[in-house]
Amino acid sequence: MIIKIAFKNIWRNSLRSWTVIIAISLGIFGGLAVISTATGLSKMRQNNAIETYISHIQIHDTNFLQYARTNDTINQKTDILSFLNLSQLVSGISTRIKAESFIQSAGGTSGVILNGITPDQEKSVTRIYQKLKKGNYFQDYKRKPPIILSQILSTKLNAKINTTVQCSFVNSKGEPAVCLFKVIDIFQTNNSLYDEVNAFVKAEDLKSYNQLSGIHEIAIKLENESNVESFRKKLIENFPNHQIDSWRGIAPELGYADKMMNLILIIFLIIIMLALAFGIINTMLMAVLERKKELGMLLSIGMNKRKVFGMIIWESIFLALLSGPLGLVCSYVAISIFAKKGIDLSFAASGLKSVGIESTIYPYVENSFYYIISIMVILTAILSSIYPAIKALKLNPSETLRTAN
Amino acid sequence: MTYQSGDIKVQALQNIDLTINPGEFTAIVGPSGSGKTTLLNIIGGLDSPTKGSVKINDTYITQLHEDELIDFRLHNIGFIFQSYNLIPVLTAKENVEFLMLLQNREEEFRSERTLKLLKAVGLEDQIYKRPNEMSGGQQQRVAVARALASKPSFILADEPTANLDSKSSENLLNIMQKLNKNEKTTFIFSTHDQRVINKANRIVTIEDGKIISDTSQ
Repeated sequence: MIIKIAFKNIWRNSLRSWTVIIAISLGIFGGLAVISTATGLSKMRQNNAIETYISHIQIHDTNFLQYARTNDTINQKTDILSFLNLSQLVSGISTRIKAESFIQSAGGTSGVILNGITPDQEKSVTRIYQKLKKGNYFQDYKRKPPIILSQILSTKLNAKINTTVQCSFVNSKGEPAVCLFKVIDIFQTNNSLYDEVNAFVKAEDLKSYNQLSGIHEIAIKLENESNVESFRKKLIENFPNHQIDSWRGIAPELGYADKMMNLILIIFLIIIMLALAFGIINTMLMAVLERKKELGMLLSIGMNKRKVFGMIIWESIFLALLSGPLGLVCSYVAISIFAKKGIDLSFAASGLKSVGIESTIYPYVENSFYYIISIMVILTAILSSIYPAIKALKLNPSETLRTAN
Repeated sequence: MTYQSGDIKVQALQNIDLTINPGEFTAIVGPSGSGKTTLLNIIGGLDSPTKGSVKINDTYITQLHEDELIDFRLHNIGFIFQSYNLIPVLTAKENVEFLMLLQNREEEFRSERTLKLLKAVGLEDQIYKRPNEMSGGQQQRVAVARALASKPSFILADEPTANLDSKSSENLLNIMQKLNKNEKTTFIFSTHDQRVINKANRIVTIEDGKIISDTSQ
């Protein structure tokens, strides 16, 4: 009966109750919309970076990242590759040779990192092959060694497809080496900073120009991103004399963005719950003050304080139970639709691209988040109704019957 | 008994010595501000006297803690208020049933007694109506049925006819009188309505917080 009365009580002033319910629902919807968009944005940036150039884990010689010397190659290359080939967690491996180079064309000059790759291997790890203008991923070329430049570099050097560029770098013997490449295709990722300083050549060409037998980098892609840290630890245990980093270590800014997103998420949750709490406190306080006389009557005729307290708490729970699911369902539907369709931000495409984000954002929220919000909404409702309930308990029955309207 | 009104301490009642016997139909009369409602509140355990005691059956209610007092009221005292004070979101039936639910009575007992009481107050055809769908007189009759629902030792009614027209007042008084005669229910009510006073078999007159006369008729 107490629960029944509580439920009926919230409809006494249906306009006010609906206003509160809609306000709370909109709060939850708005919060989740912002959170999902921000999370989707962060995830997209992270996935783009992982799938375009970082991969999940990279292995280097301990000195390579610090000094970038040609001779700092991976010692246990064969052992590492055997280990990786045997692991079922690994979905792709790419060995790379790198050279910090100076690139020249008839139209200009620039600094560039030459990435010597084996195209078939690289396809299993990154998606650069999908970002090509013509789709020529080292299949079609004659005589001169091929090179794939980024759109930015191509424009900067005025080097179109089929033009020749010259790269100079220091080889493994410490001598200057100069070599000519023919531009066979142009790539464009969503990260203009990456595009500006990277070019791709075939590993065998760079090896011969470099007079090098080893490799500088092993890029690993795992079947499941959640295994990255555990697999990295395993690799470190097996190959302690190498620099083994996850994508968080290679591109810490992505990890920071991820952490920051979590922090923003918590802040947003707190804001949503505070709005909910104040909404409920305000409504319930008004409800208690308006019903002073009735509450006094209930205490007079024998309804004990525990039951009066429970009735107020139940009223808040009902408000939360109506507004919470409404907000969550609306959010779920909207997020599901836009997770497939995407939110088109092409008007800000160039700005987004400069930070490695595509112009279509796919909102994302983990399902567990909906459960967490549901529980938090109910807990907040209970906590925020305590103050109005205590107010109700402090009423003096005879006083309220004598004075209240 | 004193209470605070602004900065002034008001002595509402003094030297009250009153015994109400089972089955009595007692009217407490007196002008406004004479202390009628305060006396009823003290008898009902809603207010505590600054001095003295109230004994109901064998219990000194003035010695009970707040929670015990609420429980005591639930099982021993029925209340009828001037402005009915029904629970607006419940039907007549639910309002009457409410106290029995608080007493954890069986459903069968509750339904049977609710119907019996609503019939006794002439509202058997209004059981599913809410207070706002009933007249003042009907609401007050529901309040009488509710007051009786918990099988109290006695019923306290604070000016029960004050908000009713003469016909409804008459009707209500007849019901209360019938319940008093047939069921031996004890009624104590405050009033300055002469019609109510005429029906009472004992009249206690209060003035300035003191009993100035106590007569039976």
